Amino acid sequence: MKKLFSAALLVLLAACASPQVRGMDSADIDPFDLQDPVKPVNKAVFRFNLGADKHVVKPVADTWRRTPYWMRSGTSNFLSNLGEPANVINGALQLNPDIAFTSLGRLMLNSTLGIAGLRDFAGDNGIKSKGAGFANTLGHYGVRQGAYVVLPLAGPSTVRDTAGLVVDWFLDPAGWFLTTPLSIAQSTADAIVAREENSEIIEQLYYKSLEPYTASRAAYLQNQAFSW
Amino acid sequence: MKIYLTAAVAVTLTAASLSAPAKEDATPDESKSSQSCDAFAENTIGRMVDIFHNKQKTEDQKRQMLSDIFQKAVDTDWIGQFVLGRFWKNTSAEEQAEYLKNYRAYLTSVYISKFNDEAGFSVDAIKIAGLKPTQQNQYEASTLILRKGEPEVHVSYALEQFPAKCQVHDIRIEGVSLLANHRSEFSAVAGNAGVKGVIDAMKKQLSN
Repeated sequence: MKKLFSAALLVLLAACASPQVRGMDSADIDPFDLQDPVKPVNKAVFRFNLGADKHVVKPVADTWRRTPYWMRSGTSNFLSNLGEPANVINGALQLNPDIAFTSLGRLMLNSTLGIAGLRDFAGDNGIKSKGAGFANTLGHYGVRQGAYVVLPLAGPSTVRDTAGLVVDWFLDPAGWFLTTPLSIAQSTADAIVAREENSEIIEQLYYKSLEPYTASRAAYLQNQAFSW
Repeated sequence: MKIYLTAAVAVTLTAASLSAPAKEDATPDESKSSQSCDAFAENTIGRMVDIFHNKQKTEDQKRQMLSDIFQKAVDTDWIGQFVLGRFWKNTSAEEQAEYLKNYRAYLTSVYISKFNDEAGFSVDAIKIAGLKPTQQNQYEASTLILRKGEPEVHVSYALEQFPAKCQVHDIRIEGVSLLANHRSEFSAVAGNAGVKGVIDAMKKQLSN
């Protein structure tokens, strides 16, 4: 039994090990490959995401873009406001009163004077969002990014960011009260709004780069490192 | 994100000052180098905002102005060679020339072609956050793109001081390096299809 366990552990570790390319020196190795131990799986998921974006998500986001600005802005603000409770909680977890109280202030102001969050009243008056997801909290306490992963539909992520996403999903207050279909509708709206707001960069990485997978991976990992 | 396009235009306009007259010193010392690249950074703000807000120019005219400035100011040949990495030295001179010609056009299109005022973005101000020496004759200029109601965008430029000019060798937008990104991409393509594959891929993108 012990031998079987050890063998299984070795297989698991090997699967997560950094790839080594024979016959090449370190200058030839793409550094982003080192953080991508499950590259074949990631590439397959990425291809799926690319197809979904081209045939479904992008057309919907393009249609959304043609709606009046006030409608898009209001929707974006409303959805962002739903994320403020998670920012408050994560600010508290990080023992960061600036994040916690700023987010609480934004939630209260936007929910009232911002008409249920449709208007970013706080932001318009200089109280900018201090987004702090659970991934930030994990990073605050020294948890490393971990391996690069591509999530179905959600796109580039890391092990730590994925864990953060899951926790943030549970922290979303709308999820406590909405039925499952409405929760799905909210997530879909989030995705479409995000796709529209990030259309330039997604167009560049997905459709204008020479190699979309490596371009997206390099951009995501560098931006994450910068943000931390 | 619109920051990518905004920063791209900011890069180009920042690079505008690179085409300003420069000293002809054969061996610039640190203080003169600092002033040259520093002048580049300082001269950009007014020109950047001017081009952005110039209502008398059409979008095509602005795009052409930006392209001209970009190609003068950014050392596309050096960047093109760098991002090809180990594949460069095994390439014939003819193929190198063709690669660089296409890379120059590709890089310019990446940063300029999407400039479109109809996109509704604006640049209220570009703040020079700092200019610091990194190595001999090399500097990093940090800037912040400020836009009302939008988060500020951090854009930094790796500059190299040459006897006659100061040129951009890398552009980092919110931490994403042009060099690192292209090197990763181009290595993947060249590893499968060689330098010819890279050239063909760029031509395909340019024709789209």
